[in-house]
Amino acid sequence: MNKSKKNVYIVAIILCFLICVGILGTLFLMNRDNSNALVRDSETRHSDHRDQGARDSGSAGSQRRNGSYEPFHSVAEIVKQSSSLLDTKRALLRVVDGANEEVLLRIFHETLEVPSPLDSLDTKYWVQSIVLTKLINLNEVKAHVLIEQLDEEDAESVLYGVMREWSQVHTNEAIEFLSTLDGELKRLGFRGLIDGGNYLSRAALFEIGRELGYNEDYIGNLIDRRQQDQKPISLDDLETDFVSVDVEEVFQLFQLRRKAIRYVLAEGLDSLPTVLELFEKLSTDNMSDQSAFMVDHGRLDVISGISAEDPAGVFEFVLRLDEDIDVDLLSAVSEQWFAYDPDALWNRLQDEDVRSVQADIIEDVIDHWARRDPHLALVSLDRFPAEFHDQAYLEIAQAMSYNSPVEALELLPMVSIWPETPADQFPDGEFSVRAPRPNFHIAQIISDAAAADPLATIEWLNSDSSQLDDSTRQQYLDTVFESWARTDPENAFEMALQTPLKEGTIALEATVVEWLAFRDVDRAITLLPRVREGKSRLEAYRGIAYQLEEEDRISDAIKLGNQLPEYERAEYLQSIAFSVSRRSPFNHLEAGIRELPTKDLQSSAARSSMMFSGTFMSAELTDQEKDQLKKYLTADDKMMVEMMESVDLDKLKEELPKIPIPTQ
Amino acid sequence: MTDIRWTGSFRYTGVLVLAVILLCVLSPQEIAASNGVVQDSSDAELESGTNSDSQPSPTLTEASIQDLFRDYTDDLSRLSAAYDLIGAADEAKLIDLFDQSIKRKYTQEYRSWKSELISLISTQLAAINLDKAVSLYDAQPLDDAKYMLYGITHAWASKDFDGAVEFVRNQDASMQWVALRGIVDASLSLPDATLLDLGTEFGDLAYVERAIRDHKLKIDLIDPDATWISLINDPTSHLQENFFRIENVANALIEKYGVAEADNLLSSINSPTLNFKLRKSILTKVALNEPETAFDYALETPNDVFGSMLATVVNTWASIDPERALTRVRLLEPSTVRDRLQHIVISSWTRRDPTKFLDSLESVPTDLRETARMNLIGQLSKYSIEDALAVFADMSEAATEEKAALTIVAAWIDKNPDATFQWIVSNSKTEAYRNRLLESFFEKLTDQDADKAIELALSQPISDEKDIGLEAMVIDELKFSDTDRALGLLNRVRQGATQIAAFESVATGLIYERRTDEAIELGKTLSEQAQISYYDSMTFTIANKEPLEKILEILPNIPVEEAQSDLAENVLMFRSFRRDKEPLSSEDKDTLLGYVAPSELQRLKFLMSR
Repeated sequence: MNKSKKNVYIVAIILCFLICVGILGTLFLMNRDNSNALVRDSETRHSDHRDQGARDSGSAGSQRRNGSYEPFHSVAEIVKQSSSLLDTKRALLRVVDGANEEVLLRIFHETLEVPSPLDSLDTKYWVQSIVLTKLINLNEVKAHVLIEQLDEEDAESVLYGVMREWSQVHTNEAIEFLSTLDGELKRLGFRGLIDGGNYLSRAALFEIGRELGYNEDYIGNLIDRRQQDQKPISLDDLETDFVSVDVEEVFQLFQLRRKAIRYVLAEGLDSLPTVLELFEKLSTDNMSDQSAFMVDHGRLDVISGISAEDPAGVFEFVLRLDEDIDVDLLSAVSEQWFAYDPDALWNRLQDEDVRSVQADIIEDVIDHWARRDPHLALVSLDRFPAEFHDQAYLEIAQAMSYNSPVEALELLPMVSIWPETPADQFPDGEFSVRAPRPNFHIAQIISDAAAADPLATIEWLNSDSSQLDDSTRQQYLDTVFESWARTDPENAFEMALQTPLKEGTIALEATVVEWLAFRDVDRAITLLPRVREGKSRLEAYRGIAYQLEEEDRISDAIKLGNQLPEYERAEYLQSIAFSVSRRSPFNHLEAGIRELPTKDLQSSAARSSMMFSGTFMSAELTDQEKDQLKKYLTADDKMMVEMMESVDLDKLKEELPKIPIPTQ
Repeated sequence: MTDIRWTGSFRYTGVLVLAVILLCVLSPQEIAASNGVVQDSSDAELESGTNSDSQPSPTLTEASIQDLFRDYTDDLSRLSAAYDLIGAADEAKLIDLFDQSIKRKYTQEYRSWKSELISLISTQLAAINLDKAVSLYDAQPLDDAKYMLYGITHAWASKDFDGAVEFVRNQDASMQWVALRGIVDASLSLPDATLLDLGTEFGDLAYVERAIRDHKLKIDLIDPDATWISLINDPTSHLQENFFRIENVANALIEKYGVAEADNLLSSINSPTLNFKLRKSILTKVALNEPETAFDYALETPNDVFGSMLATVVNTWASIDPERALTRVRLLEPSTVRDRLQHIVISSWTRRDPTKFLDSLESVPTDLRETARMNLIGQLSKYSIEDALAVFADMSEAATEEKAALTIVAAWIDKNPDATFQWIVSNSKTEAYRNRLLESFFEKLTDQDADKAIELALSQPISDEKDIGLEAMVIDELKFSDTDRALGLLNRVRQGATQIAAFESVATGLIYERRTDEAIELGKTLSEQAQISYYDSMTFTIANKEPLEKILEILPNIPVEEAQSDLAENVLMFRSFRRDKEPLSSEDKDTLLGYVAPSELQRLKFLMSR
């Protein structure tokens, strides 16, 4: 009994003790917190009071009381109440530290105001940096939105500035923020950190760069470039760099160009000939075409880089450099001059001394700006001479077709030659000196759109916006289906079958089959039965026959012809004979002729081969080879060949259609 | 005896219980006092829109550097407290804090705090007692002293520009650019030329130029009307470099007079590039507060066929109020521009709050739901692949579905490459564009872990030798970044088409590294049939990358006649089209023509004559 009583007492005592410790502990902690709060409150009041007479007294209005924060009204008010930069920063830090998303957005937007309530741009960027630091922890997406809502140029300059002022103690937030940004913004942000006032060490910058996904070389180059840009450069340095550069290394060439530009800008235009000479010396025959191209462009980049301040002056200087006008150099200046003052440029190009190269230069300027910023070129269209607007529309459409091929189509009706097609003849030089075949560029633009989105391209071609008549539309639809057949023949074929067949036209599925045959002739053959009957089907069969002949499968081609009705078969076999006639070398040609099933077809192949010998359609035959082929000729064909041999073949060849060659 | 002892214990227990009761009676007052503090704080939060969740930050007049690290767990609160502590400190306290900052042992995590604190304290101290700051500076190693230079030179130059400059001239050259910033920031009223010379001398001209520019802007903005007139009448002011001034002054005028002023401003800018940039800048600023006005103004932009100005406005508008932005965009006539603008809005909308957006997906117009799902997947996959996959399951349009699948792959691969791979190869929805997904997958995984990539690639069977195994993708990805690694992996690739594709990739890498001879030798290990494709595939690259002399040396070593012919033809054609190259000598031309297949000669001569 006693023992059990003892146990009860012991348990009761332990329980009481634990309860007491718990209660006392709680009370002690509460008391301490409260005391601290009271002490802080008292200290704050004391400090406020003391600070009123001190040099930092202005911040009193924004100091915390009772462990909380003063109401935030505006950045402007904080600046007004602060007596020094440190004071402003102290007050803003307090606000930002305790702010919710809404207040952070308000502060950020207020910093964007012009004129800014903040004393300097650096301070503005510093405030934005602490706002973003805080926001990244609260809602990273909102932090990104703050940058993304700016226009591209502003976003870049704000981000660069913000990262320049970013506190090194918040490096993790900087990495987190930058790592989700797109290429150029991320790079600029990283450059901001490199150029920043917080003097991050090289090792720290390498660490950050690696975390952002850059490789060591790239990081090193970014850091060193900044240092290099600060150093003056002498001619000796430059010459040494030109001697030691590895022209196959694109980055080295790029650095060399930058140095050359800095040198000319520092030394003046008189140093330009020396620099151009260095580039000329660099260009040797023992250089790949790609490197030669890069070196040549290095020269132009130097001209471009030194032209920004006084393009008119550089233009005159470059013009006097040599007796022969270097159009490329003048174009490089003119591209900059256009950005500065287009009217002055066009006026200068009217002068007698440059009139012969006027068109070339204008086209280069248009080409440059269309590629660099097609939207800018379009909105600035009126700044180009009116007679070059066609050229401008076409160049812009070409530039657009890289990223927005379907949208590029919308510019085509603005080109005056639209809707001419490649099938339409267009004399050399009529449209442009440097781009003589605009209709082929148009076809390429349509082909690009078709490759990107065939259905949208077809829809556009069929819409009123395209302003096409039926016949021209059919030619462009052919282009689309050619392009589509290369990437997705099955769907192209099905879509073609659904397209109504207009009288006198070849069905689009025949186009698909022909183009598929180039890649996979057996697959193309499986589609043949579904091609609509008539001219279209024959066309598809012929396309396949050409390919089978090319693959030396003449017997397969002949067998395939058996599927055709009699009246089409003859025409089909003639196609095979014609295809054989283009063969070379001679033994291959003769083997093909022998494989043809009838004397008439053999004769036809031999006759064509002899008649087109030496043209782009057929290899040149020796007299002996011609004699050898004569044994395949029928009497009628023999007579015809002899008749042809008596006429001036060279003249005839001249009159054959020329193969158009696009400039690019 | 025992009873007495236990009676004593009983009494003791009673005392304790009494004490507890007493404390409990007293405590409500204390608790009330504490609550008062909390109550005050909450009221203040409501009023100000700020909160004190982070941590209380007392005015730390008596605090130490140690306290900053003990009492604050997040960097921003600590930084705020540091500013409070240092900002309120007198000279003695600053010296003490400096001493503490120097002597404190910092962990790797807090290392950057040392320089931050040194910089802050020395800036304050230099303003109060420059001599003392300089003496402390002299006593520090360069690595620490660097962070004091700005504050010291700023304070020094504020009083004595020449003295400060002389001081910097005597410092280590590697730190002079830091000191320069302090001097320049304190001396912006001096002539530009003086400051620019200093920038050149101390190695940071760019900083000086920027500081002068910022300073000028401040003056510009005092009277933006007058500044604008002087800017547009100055023939040298329309330079690209001056856009910063033009933009800020123009925006100050828009702020003052409203968007109606935009036409006047834009018409006075002659440069097309500046005009374009300024228009965009103005529209962005206006869109922040008056998006409808900005939208209408953008619509009036002449010849803006692709709506680049509308896109600028919508980009900003959508980040603030996507619903209204979308309503306005949908009032436009159907066009590709309208489609693009709608996509901008949807993309921005999904970024704002993906989870919330998911719940309100039904409120998005039907024709935009697939785009919305695609964008949503882009956001969700950052946080939860499961959520992204759930949205993906609801998608039905192939084009958007493919883009969404690519996004999922890009995000998932970082977390679980095996699961990502299994999803790609087994999910029936991805069949139509599986190859594209695999390319994207191996592109990224090879970059991260090439061994893992090759292992996964080899785990997938191929039906026959005509099929190209996935390992060819891995090798192709390595061909430029690590050619030797790609070369080493060739013995693991499967025979047939896979082997040829892999060899061709490595050959391209070797040629780019100017190791063309190795590439030619490598092909000789292939079967005769495979060599035809292998050598044919490299002719264009060789013609582009190697100089003529080298090509003439290489040609006889290529064992496939067709490839020799192609290479020779490429060189002949490239040269005949290039304006900037010397024509080939007749000897070289004949040598090259000697390699061209007779069947190609006529056509080639014909083309060269054009």
